[in-house]
Amino acid sequence: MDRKQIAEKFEDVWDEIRSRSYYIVGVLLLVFFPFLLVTPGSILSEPFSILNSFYSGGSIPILSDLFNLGQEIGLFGKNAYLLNIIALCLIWAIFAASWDFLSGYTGQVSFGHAIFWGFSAYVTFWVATGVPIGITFDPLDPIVLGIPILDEILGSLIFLINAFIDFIFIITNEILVFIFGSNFMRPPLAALVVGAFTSAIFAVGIGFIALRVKGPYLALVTLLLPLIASQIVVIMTDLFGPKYGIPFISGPFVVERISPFDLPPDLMGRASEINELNFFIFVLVIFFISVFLMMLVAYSRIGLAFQSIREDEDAAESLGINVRFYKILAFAGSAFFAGLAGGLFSQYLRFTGPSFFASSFSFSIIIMCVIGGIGSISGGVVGAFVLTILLELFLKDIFHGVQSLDLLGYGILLIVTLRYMPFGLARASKDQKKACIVGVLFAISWTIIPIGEGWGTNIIASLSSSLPLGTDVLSNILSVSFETLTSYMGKVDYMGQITSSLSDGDILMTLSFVLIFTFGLIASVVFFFAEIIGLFFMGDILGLSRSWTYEDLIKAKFLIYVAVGIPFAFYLPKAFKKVRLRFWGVWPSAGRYEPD
Amino acid sequence: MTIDTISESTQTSKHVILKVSSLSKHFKGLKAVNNVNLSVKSGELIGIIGPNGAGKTTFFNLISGFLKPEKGSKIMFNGDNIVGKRPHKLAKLGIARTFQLVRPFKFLNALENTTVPHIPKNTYVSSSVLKNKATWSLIEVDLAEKKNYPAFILPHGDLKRLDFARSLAVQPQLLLLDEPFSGLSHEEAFRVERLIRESNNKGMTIIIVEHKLKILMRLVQRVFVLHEGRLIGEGSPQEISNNQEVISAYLGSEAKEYV
Repeated sequence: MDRKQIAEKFEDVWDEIRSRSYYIVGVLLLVFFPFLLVTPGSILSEPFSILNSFYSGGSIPILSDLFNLGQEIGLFGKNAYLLNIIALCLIWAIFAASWDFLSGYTGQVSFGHAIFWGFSAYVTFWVATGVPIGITFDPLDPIVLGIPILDEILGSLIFLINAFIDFIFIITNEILVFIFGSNFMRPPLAALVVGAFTSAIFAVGIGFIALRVKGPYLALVTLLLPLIASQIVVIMTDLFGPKYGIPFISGPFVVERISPFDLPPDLMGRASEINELNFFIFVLVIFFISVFLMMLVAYSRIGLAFQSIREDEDAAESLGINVRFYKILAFAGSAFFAGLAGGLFSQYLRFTGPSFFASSFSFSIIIMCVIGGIGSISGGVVGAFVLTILLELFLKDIFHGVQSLDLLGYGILLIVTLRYMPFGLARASKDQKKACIVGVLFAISWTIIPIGEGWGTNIIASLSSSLPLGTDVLSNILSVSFETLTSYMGKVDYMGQITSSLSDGDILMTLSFVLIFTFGLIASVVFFFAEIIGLFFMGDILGLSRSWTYEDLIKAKFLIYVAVGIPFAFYLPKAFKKVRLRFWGVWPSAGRYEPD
Repeated sequence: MTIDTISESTQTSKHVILKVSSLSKHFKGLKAVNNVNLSVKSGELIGIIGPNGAGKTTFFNLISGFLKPEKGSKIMFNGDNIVGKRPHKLAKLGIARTFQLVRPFKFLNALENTTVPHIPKNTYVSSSVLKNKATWSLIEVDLAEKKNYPAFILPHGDLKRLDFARSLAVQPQLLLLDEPFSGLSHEEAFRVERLIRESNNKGMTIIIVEHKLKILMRLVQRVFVLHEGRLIGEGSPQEISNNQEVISAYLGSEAKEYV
C-alpha cells in the first residue's frame, strides 16, 4: 500500500474515533473510576476477592489526591458515596435506554414503563427468597334473608363460591411455590436474570394489548397499567408482602457476613466501601452488557424494522415488515432490560414495594430520554447520568427536605433542552456540546480551584461570617491574587530591601497573570450573575442558606456557575467573532472559511 | 434456450394473476366498493380511473389487505384466495403497493428506506449484501447519488421515485400504484413513466390509479372505470374514451383529446 493511502486510512479511523470522543472519554472514566478511590500504598496481605488487583497495585497518586481533595471539600460525600451515586446512574441509564428501545426506536410510546421495573423487582424478590406458603382467602359471609329455603340456596351458593375461590388461591399459590420455591435463599444474580426474563414474558402479554391501540391511546393504557398493578400489590398482601414494601433484599456480591475484623489491617473498617465498590463493578458490567446488546439490536436490521414501524406503520407493513411481531419483540426486549434495571434497583435499595410502580419513575425516564436525545440508545444513558447526578448530588442537598424535587428540576431542564436542543444532548450541535463541557469546566474551576490552601481559608472565613456573600468573596479573591502577583514582582530579603529586579521568569509569570486577568474581566459577567444574583437569590431570598452547610454552599455555587457558564461559553465565541470582524476583518484566522 | 424463446414462453403462459369476484366494502351504509368483478392477466398494464370517491383507493386497500371486504367477496391471487391475509403476508406472496400521498420513512435516509423491504426476505444474508441490494434498488431509479440524504429533505419528485423503488424492492408480481404521477413536473412524470414501462417489460403486472389521463391512456393496455363503487366500464383506452356512460360520469365531453 502506498504511504499516502495508509495515511488516509488512518485519518478515516481517527475521524471515527474523534466523532465518538465524548463517549470514549465517558467509558474510560467509568471503568477507571474505582482506581481513584484507592489510596496509594494499601496492599492486601492475602487474597480477598476478585477485586484484589484493584487494591494490590495502589493507584496513581495524583488522581487519589484529587479524590481526597474532593472528599475534603465534601463534593463526593463520605464513604464512597459517589460510587453509590454512579451505580444509581448506571441503573437509571439501563432503564432509560430500555424505554428508548421501545418508544424511541419503535415509536410505541409507553407512559408506564415502571410496570416492568416493579414487576421484575417483585419477581426478583420471589426468586431470591421464595413465595410465602399458605395464602389464605377471607370467606364471604352467608347472606341471611329470613326465608329458610332462599337462605339455604344462597348459603350453599356462597359456600360453593368460597370453595371455588379458595381452590384458585391454593392452586395459584401451589404453582408459584412450585416455580419459585419457598423460604430459602437463592443467589441474587440468578434472581435478577429470572426476574428480567419473567418481565419479558409478561411484556409479551402487554404487547398483545398494545397491538389493539395506537398513539395517544396506547400512552393512556400504559399510563394506567402500573396504577392497577400497584393497587393489586397493595390488596394482595399475602402474596406481595406488606403494603409498605419488603425490606432486606440482598444484593449480589455483597460481603455482609464478613465482619470488619476479618479484613486485613489496611482495609479495617472499610467493609462497606468494599461492598459498594463490588456492587458498582457488578452494575457496571451489567450496564455494559445490556447497553451493548440494545445497541447491537438497534443498529441491526431489526432496529431498522423498528424504525420503519415508528415512521410509518402502514408503509412498513405494505413492504413486508411483520408489524405485530416486531412490536411484541420490542416490548419484550425493552421489558427485559427494564426488568434488569428494576431488579438491580431493588437490590440497590435493599427494598421492594408498591412505590416501584409510581408514575414518577415512568416520567423520569421519559424526561431523561428527551434530554439525552430520543431514538439513540446513548441518549438515554447521557440523560440518565445528567439528571441523576443533578438530583442526587446537587438538588437534594441544596433544597433540603423539599418534596418531589426530581420532577421540578427535571421539568425545568426539560423545557430548556427542548427549546435550545430539541434533539437532545447526544445530538446537539458541536458548538452546544463544546459550550456544555466548557461551561462545566468553568464552573469546576471557579468552585474548586479557589479552595486550595491559601484561597480556600479566606473564603471559608468569609463564609463563616454572615456577611453578604458576593462582595466579600470578590474582595478576597482580588486581595489574594494581588498578593501573589506582587510577590513575583521583586524579592525582599531579610533586611527588608528589594534585592533583585525582574528576572525572565518573573516577567513570564506577570504576563500570564495579566492574561488570566484579561479573561477574568470578560468572565466577570458570569461572576456577577452567578455569585451576586444567583447565590443572593438562592441563599438569602429563598432562605436556603439557613440550612446550608459549607458543602451545600459549594454545590449551589457549582450549579449556578454551570447554569450561567454554559450560555456564556456558547455566546462568547460568537460575540468575539463579531468584534473581530468589526475591528480586524478576518485577521486571526486568515484563509480559513468560516460559514456562519 | 435463447432469450427470445424465454420471452415467448412468458408471453404464451399468460395466466390470470388476479381475479376479483363480487368484491364489496361498506362504510356504515356507504357502499365504497359495490360488487366489483374483474380479472387481470399476468404481465398486463392496467389503469383504473374514476371520479374522486369512486372507490379506487378502497379497491387498492382491499387487495393489499389493509381493509377487510364484506362477506362473499373473493380475491384470487395466483389461484389462492387472499381475503383476510395481513399486508405483510401479501407482500411476501408478491403484492406491493404505493400510497396516494408519498409515505417515506422520514428520518431514515434513502438507502435505509430501500433496505427495509429487503429485510423480510433476506433473514440469513449478511448486512453488506443487504446494503448492496438496497443500493441496486436506488440505482434502478437514479437515486444512488442521494443515498445518504434523510428522506425529509428530498424533493417530491425524488420521494415518488423512492416510493417506487421501495415497492420494487419487494420483488412483486403485482404492483399497485396509487397516483404515481400526481404533483410531478412533466420531466419527472416522464421518468416515472419510463420506470413503469421498464418494469412492465420485465413481466410485472401493474395496476395504476391516476387522474392524469394523458399519460395514463398512452401507457396502459386496459382501463377499468369505477363510479360510486361500481365497475361501469372496461376495455382498451380507445373503447373507454368512446364509452358514453364513462364520458358522462367522469371524462366529460373532451374525452377524445386524451387518446
